[in-house]
Amino acid sequence: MKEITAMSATAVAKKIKEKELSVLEVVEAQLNAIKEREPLYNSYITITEKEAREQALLIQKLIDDGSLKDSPLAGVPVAIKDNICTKGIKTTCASKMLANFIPSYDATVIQRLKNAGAILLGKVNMDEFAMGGTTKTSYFGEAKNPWNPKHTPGGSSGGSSAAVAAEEAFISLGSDTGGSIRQPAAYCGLVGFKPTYGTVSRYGLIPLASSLDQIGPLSRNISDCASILEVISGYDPKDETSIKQVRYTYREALVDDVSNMKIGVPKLYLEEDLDKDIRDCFMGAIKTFEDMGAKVEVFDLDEISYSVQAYYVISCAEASSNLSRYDGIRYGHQAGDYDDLDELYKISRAEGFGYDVKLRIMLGTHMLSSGNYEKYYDKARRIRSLISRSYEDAFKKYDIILSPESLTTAPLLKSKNSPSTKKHRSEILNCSVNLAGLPAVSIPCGIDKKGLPIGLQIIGSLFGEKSLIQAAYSFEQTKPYERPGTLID
Amino acid sequence: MKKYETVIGLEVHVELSTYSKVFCGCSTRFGKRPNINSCPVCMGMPGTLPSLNKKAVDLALLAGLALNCDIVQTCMFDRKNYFYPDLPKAYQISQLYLPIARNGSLSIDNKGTKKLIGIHELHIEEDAGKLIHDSDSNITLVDYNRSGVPLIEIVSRPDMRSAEEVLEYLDKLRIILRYLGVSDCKMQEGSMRVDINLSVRESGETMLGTRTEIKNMNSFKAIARAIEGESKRQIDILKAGGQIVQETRRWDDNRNESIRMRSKEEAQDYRYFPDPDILPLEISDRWIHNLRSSLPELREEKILRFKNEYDLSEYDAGVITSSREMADLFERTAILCNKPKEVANWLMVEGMRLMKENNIDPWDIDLHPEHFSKLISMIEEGIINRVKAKDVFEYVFLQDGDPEEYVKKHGLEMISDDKVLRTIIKQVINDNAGPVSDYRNGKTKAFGYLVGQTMKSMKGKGDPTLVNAILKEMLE
Amino acid sequence: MKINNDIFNNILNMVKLSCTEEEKKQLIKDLNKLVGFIDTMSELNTDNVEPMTYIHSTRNVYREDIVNDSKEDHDIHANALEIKDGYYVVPRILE
Repeated sequence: MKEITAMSATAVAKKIKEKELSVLEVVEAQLNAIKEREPLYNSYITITEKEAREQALLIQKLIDDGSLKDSPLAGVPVAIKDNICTKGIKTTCASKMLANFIPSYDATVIQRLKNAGAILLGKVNMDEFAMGGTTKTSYFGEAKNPWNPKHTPGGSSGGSSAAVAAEEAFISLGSDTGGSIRQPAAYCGLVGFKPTYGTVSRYGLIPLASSLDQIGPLSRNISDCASILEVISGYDPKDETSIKQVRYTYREALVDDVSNMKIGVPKLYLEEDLDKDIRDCFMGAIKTFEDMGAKVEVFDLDEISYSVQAYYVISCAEASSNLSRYDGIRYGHQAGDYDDLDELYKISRAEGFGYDVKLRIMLGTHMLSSGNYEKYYDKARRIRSLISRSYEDAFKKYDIILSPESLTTAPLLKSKNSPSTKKHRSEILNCSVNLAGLPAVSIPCGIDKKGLPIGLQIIGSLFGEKSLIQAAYSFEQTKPYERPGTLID
Repeated sequence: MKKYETVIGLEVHVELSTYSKVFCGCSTRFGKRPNINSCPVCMGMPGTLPSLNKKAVDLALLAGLALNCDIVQTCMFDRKNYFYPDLPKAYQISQLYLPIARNGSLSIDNKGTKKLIGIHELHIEEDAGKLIHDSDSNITLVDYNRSGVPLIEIVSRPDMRSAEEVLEYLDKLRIILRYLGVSDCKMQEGSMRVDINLSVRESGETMLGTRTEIKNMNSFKAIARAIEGESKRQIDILKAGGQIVQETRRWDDNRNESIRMRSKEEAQDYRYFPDPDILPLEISDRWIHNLRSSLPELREEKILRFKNEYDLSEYDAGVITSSREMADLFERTAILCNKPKEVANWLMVEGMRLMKENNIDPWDIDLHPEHFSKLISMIEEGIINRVKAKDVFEYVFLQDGDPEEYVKKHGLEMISDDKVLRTIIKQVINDNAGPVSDYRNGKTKAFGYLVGQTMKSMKGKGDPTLVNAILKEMLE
Repeated sequence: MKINNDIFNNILNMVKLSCTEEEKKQLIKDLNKLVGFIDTMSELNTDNVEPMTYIHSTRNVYREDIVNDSKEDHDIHANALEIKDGYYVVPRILE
């Protein structure tokens, strides 16, 4: 059983296709692993055992009659972050507000996964409404890092990263607004991919910030990522911001060759007070790319230094509006006791939302309020223009940009989570990418002294996924996936 | 004695005539049951996204062009944030920063003088659901069928000075929008809603007074009453030395007064910002050009053309073009029977009468011009006389029936056979010795009586010309 | 500008939230910390820069005016908290 769940998605899909394993065998193995490890990691909010077994039988039939021969994910069990709507299955956003909400519709990405024969295992843990970087704000309790359960698996897609790292799922879908796929992937030694804004439909993704959110995969290698990206990407008429593109052929980029790549490293990342292990790892990665024939150059990207401020304004402003619909009237948590409509709203929302959500909603509203719009919201959007332009200029010279994924490895769960300068500066690495809509991937780069994974971030130009995948694949050949020590017995 | 002037501006919301809602594919048809025309998008379910209906944009553009507006060629949608049970997303998608059209005008004709009423802007927005207040209990019921129906809001400048001007403006606006097929503008059905912004000031003063907003009028008459009522209320306050409070008031037509509304939207900060889920519109010159060429002939042009081509009077042309349906009926019938003056006459007299008696909107006229034309031909050909034709016309106009069938069925054919007429007239002369001798003695009035009796005995079907001639002859 | 009690209460009302005195103290503190950080945006000159909301230059995305008649096999009102005769129910609103 352990052999099955330790495989990559690509490997297990091959075994299923070649009839060495049945879909049900794989699903059972996976469900057993979940049962065994859930008490340790709390990755899952909902495990869809019954549905997964039923699906396994149906998908097996389709595989047998050849209907799914072109799908890279036929029969592969996947875990879905609990802010992506799954028809008939609770979708909670890890919040009391939606603790019992069952959507009557699938997100477009779920439909695509189903059409490709993937098996839904369950919904995984996250920070409440995707607001946070530790998964500690989840209404269903914090998730733990499989590398060291005293540490956070990151956030907001912490359940996604914990599940995949703990081999409780082969692949997971998460969402990234300011780093929420990449950072947890880095903390858990995984590959985490945020696609170019607009390539993956947001229909059915319960939004945090509409102009920043993208759904993306977390997996154990870049090949798995490329496969699932092919399945979930594509134009969706239900999402106006989705891009019309004919075919996504990401797997073609799984090529071990960076000999002609021009790689840029922003100076400001090197000047950060990085942990020594992270710095060494990052410098090592740069050398690896150079050894493989790429040209690496340090350059100025100072204009992105105000990313975090702009990100807070825009994400909180959009979020405050996106979360207004939770008013206790049509669905979601409703106050038990109220005298009038005003109280119904105020009590339902106060009871339904956790502290961090309240904080962000209030901040966002303040940024948009009369008298503040120009000073904050408009200003932030102008800074966004500058950031976008800076990256655009950079990508005229470079194919990809490298940076550490985070200034630290996974923090302890018990450490306080208040805003700090270091935290803000770590966020620059991630959120500037969302502001510009760029694709980016975090790949495992090494382990620190504490035994915690270090991630390397590779940023691409708009629609430059192929360069990212190629660079990640090449690097991966020098640093294959490492399993968390806790799993090796 | 101080003289006061009333200053009025209007915000008119109009439901667009589309099949589906503005941001989802739900039907806009009247729902037989509550919450039946709903989907996850217009119910504001989590994770759903809007998808813009192109027809709504086209209709808004047509309205903007017909109202002489500048089209804002890059326009956007903004979120207007507030909490209310009829608003599923707790924000309304509207347009604030870059509405689709601006700076237009509508000319009204008030007592012979033309006046231009400025239109500040016109924008697209989505409608909210409907609230039904259950007066017996402590609950309010919500129906989301209407949520997401496309609206345009037309905001005028405060250029109107009286209820008459306001009604003129609204009537003209309604005709234009109906002509374009933009909306059916039926106040009673809620497809046209009017909010009045009213203030008063001393005559000659140029500064605007504090204004109030009046809502909840569902007929033109109520609007006129509301204007009179609110104007008087404000003037009375000022005369007594008081001050007008800027507020929203609800017009109660039964009590003929306005009542202060509970502050639902008083001093609300809507925190408008561009909706990131809806991409901006870039309205090209070509798009505008194509729409302009597709503009149907508007009323003013039709009036001119009817005067010239069909020799109608200004007044008649005005009445006949009060709806596109009536104008088209007139024109197509006139072309078929080649008797425009006849057609016009029937519409102006009998047509208008029937419409008034049966409460028919000129926009609901729906009959085949072939039937109408046939009736006129039948009169020309002497098949029926004008008196009986009135009955036939009623049948054709109200029921769109075939006049030939009706005439046959009811035996209304005109009697013009010489022998038959003479026989009948002879009988009438015999039966009415008194009036006959009166006539012979010079009382010309008696002739009319005898004609009447003749017609009566033929159940009105006699050929009037022949009856007259034969009677006269036989009385000599 | 610092968020004081009045501004805080105004925002609280706008977002239809309520909170305990404890939460209020912490929220005001955290809000002001964040606003202080965000205020540093003014250090960056953005004269002559247009605000950016949309990532791509795609424009004019819309659909045809067709009614979606598909009878989907789900009940979208299944999550409703209170329904009477097909209507959603809220406490009486006084106009």
